[in-house]
Amino acid sequence: MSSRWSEFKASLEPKVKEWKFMLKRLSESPLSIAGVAILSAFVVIAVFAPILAPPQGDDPFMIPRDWRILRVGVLEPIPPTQDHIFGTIENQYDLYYGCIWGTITAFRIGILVVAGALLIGLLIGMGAGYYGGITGEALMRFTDIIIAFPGLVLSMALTIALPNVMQVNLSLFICVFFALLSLTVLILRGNPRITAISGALFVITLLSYLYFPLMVNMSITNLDKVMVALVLVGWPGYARVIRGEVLRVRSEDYIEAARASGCSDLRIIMKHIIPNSVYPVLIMASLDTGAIVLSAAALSFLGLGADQGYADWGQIINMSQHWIGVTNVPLTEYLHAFLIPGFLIFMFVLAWNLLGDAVRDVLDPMIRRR
Amino acid sequence: MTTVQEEALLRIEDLVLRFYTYEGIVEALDGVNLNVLENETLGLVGETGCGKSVTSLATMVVVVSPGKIEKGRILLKNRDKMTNLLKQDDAFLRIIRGSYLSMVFQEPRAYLNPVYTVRDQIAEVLVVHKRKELLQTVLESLRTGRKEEGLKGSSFEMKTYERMLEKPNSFVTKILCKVPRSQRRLNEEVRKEVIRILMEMEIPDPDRVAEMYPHELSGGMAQRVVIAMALVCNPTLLIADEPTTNLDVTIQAQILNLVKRLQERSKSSVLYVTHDLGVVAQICDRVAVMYAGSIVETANVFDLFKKPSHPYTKALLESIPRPGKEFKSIPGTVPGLIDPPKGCRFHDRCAYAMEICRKMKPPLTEIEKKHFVACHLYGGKK
Amino acid sequence: MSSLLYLRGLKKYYPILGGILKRTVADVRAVDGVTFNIEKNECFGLVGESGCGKTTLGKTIIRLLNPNGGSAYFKPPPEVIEEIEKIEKSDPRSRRLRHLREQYDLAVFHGARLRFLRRKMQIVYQDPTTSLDPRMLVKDIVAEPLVAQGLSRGSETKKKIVEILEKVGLSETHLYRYPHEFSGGQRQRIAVARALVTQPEFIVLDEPTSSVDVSVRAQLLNLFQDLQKEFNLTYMFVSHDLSVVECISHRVAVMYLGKIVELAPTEEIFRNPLHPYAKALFASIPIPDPTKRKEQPPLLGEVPSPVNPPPGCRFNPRCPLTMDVCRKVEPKLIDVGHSHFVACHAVKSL
Repeated sequence: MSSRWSEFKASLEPKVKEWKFMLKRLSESPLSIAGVAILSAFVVIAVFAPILAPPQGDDPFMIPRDWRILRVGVLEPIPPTQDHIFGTIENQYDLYYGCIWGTITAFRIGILVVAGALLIGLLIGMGAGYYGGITGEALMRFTDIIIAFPGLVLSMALTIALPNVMQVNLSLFICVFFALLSLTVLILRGNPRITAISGALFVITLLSYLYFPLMVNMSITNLDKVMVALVLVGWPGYARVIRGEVLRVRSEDYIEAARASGCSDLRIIMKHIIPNSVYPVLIMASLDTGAIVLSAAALSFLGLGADQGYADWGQIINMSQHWIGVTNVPLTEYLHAFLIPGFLIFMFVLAWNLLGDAVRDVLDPMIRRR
Repeated sequence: MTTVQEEALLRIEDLVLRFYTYEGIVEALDGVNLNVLENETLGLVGETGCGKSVTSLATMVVVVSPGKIEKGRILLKNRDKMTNLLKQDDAFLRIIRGSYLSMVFQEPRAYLNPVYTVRDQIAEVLVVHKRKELLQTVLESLRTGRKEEGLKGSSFEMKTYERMLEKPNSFVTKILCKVPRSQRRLNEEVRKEVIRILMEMEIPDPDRVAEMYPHELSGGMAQRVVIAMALVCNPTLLIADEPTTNLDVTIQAQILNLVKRLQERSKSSVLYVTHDLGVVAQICDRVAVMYAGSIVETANVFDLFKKPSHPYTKALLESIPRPGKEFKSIPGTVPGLIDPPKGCRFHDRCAYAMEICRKMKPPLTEIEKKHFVACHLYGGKK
Repeated sequence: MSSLLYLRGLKKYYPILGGILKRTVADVRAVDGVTFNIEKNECFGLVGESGCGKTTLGKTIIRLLNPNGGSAYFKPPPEVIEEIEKIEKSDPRSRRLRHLREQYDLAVFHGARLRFLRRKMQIVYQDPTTSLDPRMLVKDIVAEPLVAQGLSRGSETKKKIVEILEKVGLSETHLYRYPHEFSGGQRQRIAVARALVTQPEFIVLDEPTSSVDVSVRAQLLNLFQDLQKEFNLTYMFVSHDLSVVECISHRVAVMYLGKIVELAPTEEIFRNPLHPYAKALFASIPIPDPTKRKEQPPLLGEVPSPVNPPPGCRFNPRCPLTMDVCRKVEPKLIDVGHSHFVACHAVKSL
């Protein structure tokens, strides 16, 4: 037992050395330190949100309103006071609370959308790159079609088109999933045991579907629709990059050597091609996160995002847009309503961009060093 | 370090070069002393990592950062005077690179621009360095042409060329050059030169090859084109950095033969960098052996193969595989140059290492006429 | 001596696609009908210049590439060889031949038999930097053939890996490192260890010493010889470095444009090459002796491309002994004594 642990530790050692080297490189560029610092600040805010801005009500993501002022009939944003540190926005939503909880929303949007787009892009790009031929061509043409649409327009259309309530036949879903899994494993001539197990599960779920169809009513919020739309618009970029990398790696000697050693296609893909082709995609993902948050904010600004009162920076700006050029009012009256959330979006995207640049600066020489 | 050589074309004295990298300071060259005489082929032999390519790049003063030349002189014979290349400005270096001192590299297709034809690339070298001579040739032919026709004065064409010759940088000249018709004769002259040099390189069907793109050329052909580019301005010193390593053995034999013949015919010099002792034996007159950043032995090629003196040279010659004999290798590995061994850098692999070898680096001393060795075994002899 | 491999007319073509529909317009005839055998425990040298097809031949034999024609019999007993030769002359379509091919011809192996073959035949590549996965630790690289074939598990794997590493001159401390932390010679040893771990019988060495230094070359060559003795291996040593091939091989074959032009025991072929191409090739090696210089290059002209080989003998455009028949008829490989085979009309008529 102890030998296993010592083995595990020993196999970690070179990876730790690599990480240390990367961190050292990172620490030498002031811009990357700045990016990491800003991002860490946002992470701290997101983690401590319940303490910094205690939720009132059951859904912490709904911004609390100041009913006292509302009862008086004042609907315009109020500049910062003692009760409201950042002031309020239209309909007396507390800006401070919105900004703090908006951080969590921003992270959620950024990370989930990029993860989703990355996953789909990976699958399609990998398939197209590794198998080539007609399948590869077809997949790539399909990707091209999606890219041909202007991103913002397509995401707007998808956001509107997606239903708000979906009746999902869960067992059918699981059924199809297992069918696809066993088909993939069969094609890749992988481990026959896994194929048998997933085939069996497929049959079981098929039977259960016929006997007990499981209907689930899923309600999708507007913000979720935005996220799904962005995923569907964003994956082609990743697919293209991954396919290029897979084509490059596929022709390397060590892939052929692995085939000579008797590796199956699945094993080659999982153990050789993915680890070697994933770096440029990671760089792209880190740069993309900021852009995704920006796109989500743009969609919110256009009115397609979260509902009114949801803690989302884009949504806050959406509510404040009427107050931007109001005349016969002192300049500083409504500035806070859009400048503060705007500044937060700016800093968030800047932090991700700096981080992406830093990651690229560090990973590029590492790729070249090999 | 060495006795004064009157006929030395190139003298590298005590060259120290360091690379400042993330992992540390790489002591690439540790006091290199090398002479290239006139009308000779000097071979620079060494294994990977010994610094021979860096030396050849340093001679052209094209060392890129993070490399820095710390000490030493690179003296080139320029009209009976030795000029230190390291102290010259960019303008001077640009004039001599390509026309006086040129270089050929290992992978020919990497050093040819893939979007230009062979003719365009050779013409580029010509236009940069031999513009004046070409213009004069054109003017001569135009003048004789006009005289034959009995006309006096100069035509518009001739006036353009005369202007290009006298005032090459004026605004009017530059505009005139853009007129294609005015450049016709000049271009033809250039084309003739290109065909001439391609024929000298023994390239069959030079007219067709001149219009080809680099990717259409085979390895041997591409290397001949690169050599043509290097030799078109008749340089006095050609530096060849492993030009035949990537070529097939029959093509290598052709190229070696070509280089040797051209060197003998033009009485220029060639600095041939390689790791293959067979190549050295075939075409070099003198040989310098390099190890871990410094020259360890310099001798006439016959002396080197018959009486190798430095332990490294001896071991290198013994490690050449010979049928029927056991394979002999040099124990240990080439030292990393970030933290090189003190004293003589070969001492930890040397069969004859003594106490002093660990402490002091041996200087290059002459043990016989024109045979120099850097080893404590021969210290004190003269 | 029994044959480990018996190749008959092995062919490998690469199609050149053209046109909108990407039809095959021509073939690069990389290996165009190669026939010879490799004895057990011998080191068979295969030399030639770039484009002659020697690397393709090596990879086709171990089924990294699939042959387009011909057969490669694996460990056929001598009676079977005789039978095959007889049947091919008399009735090439007989069922008996098909049956024999299913049994011994690795060109038709598939499925489980092909996977089994992968254990018995391995390859060591020229450039150890690109043939080792840069993102894998040495222990994973060497263990991969065992794990992929399901040959061992857990601690047993580790024991086997350490054993093999020690045989190639590395140690257990090298297990947990990345390939880029090693020198070229050490990386090549890791590649050799990976090839040995499934206890193969046949290893294709594809220019294994070309990318390493001269001083390391001798160490690797000693290693190959020691391993051959210890594990009873059979090598196919593909190289363009004739001096190395001369020292390590028992027999040497010279390839030109996809065909074998000469085949003989090493000493015989280097002492007395008969084919004009082989003669010119051996004469082109620069000898490390300045007293033995050559005034003229032995062979002129470029190595032609294998796409449109000239009719008749492929060497006829560059051959100093070209006769009329050379332009029309392809010469066959014939025995001229002392197990010396040459494919040349000019030599036959001597």
